[in-house]
Amino acid sequence: MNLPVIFAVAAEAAEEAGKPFHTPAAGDLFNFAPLYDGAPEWLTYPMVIMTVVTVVLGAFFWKAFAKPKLVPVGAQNLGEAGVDFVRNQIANPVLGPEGAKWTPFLTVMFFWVLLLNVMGIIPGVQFPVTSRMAIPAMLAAIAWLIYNTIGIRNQGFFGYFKNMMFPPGVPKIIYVLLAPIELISTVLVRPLTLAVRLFANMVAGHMILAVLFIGTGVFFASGIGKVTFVLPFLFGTIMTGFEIFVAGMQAFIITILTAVYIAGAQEAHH
Amino acid sequence: MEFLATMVVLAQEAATTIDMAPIGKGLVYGLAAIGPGIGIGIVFGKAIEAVARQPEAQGLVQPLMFLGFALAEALALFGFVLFFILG
Repeated sequence: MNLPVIFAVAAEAAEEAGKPFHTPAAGDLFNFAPLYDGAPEWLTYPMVIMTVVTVVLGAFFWKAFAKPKLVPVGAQNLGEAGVDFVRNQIANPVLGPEGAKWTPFLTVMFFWVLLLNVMGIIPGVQFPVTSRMAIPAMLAAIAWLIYNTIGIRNQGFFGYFKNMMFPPGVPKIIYVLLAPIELISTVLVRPLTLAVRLFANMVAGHMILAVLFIGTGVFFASGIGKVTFVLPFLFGTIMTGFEIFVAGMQAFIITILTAVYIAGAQEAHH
Repeated sequence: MEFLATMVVLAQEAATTIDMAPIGKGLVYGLAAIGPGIGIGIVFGKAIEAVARQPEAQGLVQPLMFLGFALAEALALFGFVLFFILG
């Protein structure tokens, strides 16, 4: 469990020695008070992690590509591998010839979300910053602005909505059903699901890990639990591995979906 | 006598009235997840089949696969959001 919750729980336990253990509520896992008394409202633990991750990521990519050599070594090698992954697996297959133009944006999105997700399983930090809705919501808002602007710019304002709501090659009567569904789907549902997918996955994963590892402590502290504490610990270890996989997959999915939406808005629908 | 009758009525009501709100909230997401679970399985299964038949088609199939996945999963996410909206 992450350090602030451990300290809070331990402090509570030390204060109420002899009384039964109170497990943290769901809000305690995700809502953080400011770092110290009198701190500004926004200076919380997730903000600190996010700032550190952003600075480290920026510094890494700066060091990798500031003075590129023909034969890459060290940080440049790793940076090139990362950019190659995004360019060959996400940007080029989905966006085609425009892939090179979007690779920087998609690379930043992919690695930033990946690092913030992975913070959930790094010992000492153990809080997936993307489980605070602000970050997925902001990414979804940026993606929404981008693909709508690209669509309106490429196809004209009325052309964009006409091509979206009335795609050619469909029997005319279906348009009554299709047009509202397409409009709501593109304008409302896409950013919503982009945000909620990342948020829900990270919240659920963090809760599972919290339940299992706090459960380990609770089992160990109680009488019958002197041996059975191994069970939640083992399961928690397996779920940590699963969380690593989910972290990578969610970063990949949000990036490739942003690319798919941009590609869909770019083409002029024949 | 009347006091006793009132107490009996109140006790009966407390015993038989079940608080349905948490059950309803749980049911919302549980039922919402059935369809998209099947749908996403079909989408990815068909995509895997297509790539297995013709590996060169992966570049064409993969963006369509992700688009289909996003649309199918949207319905499950509606259920998840509704859980938080329902108080």
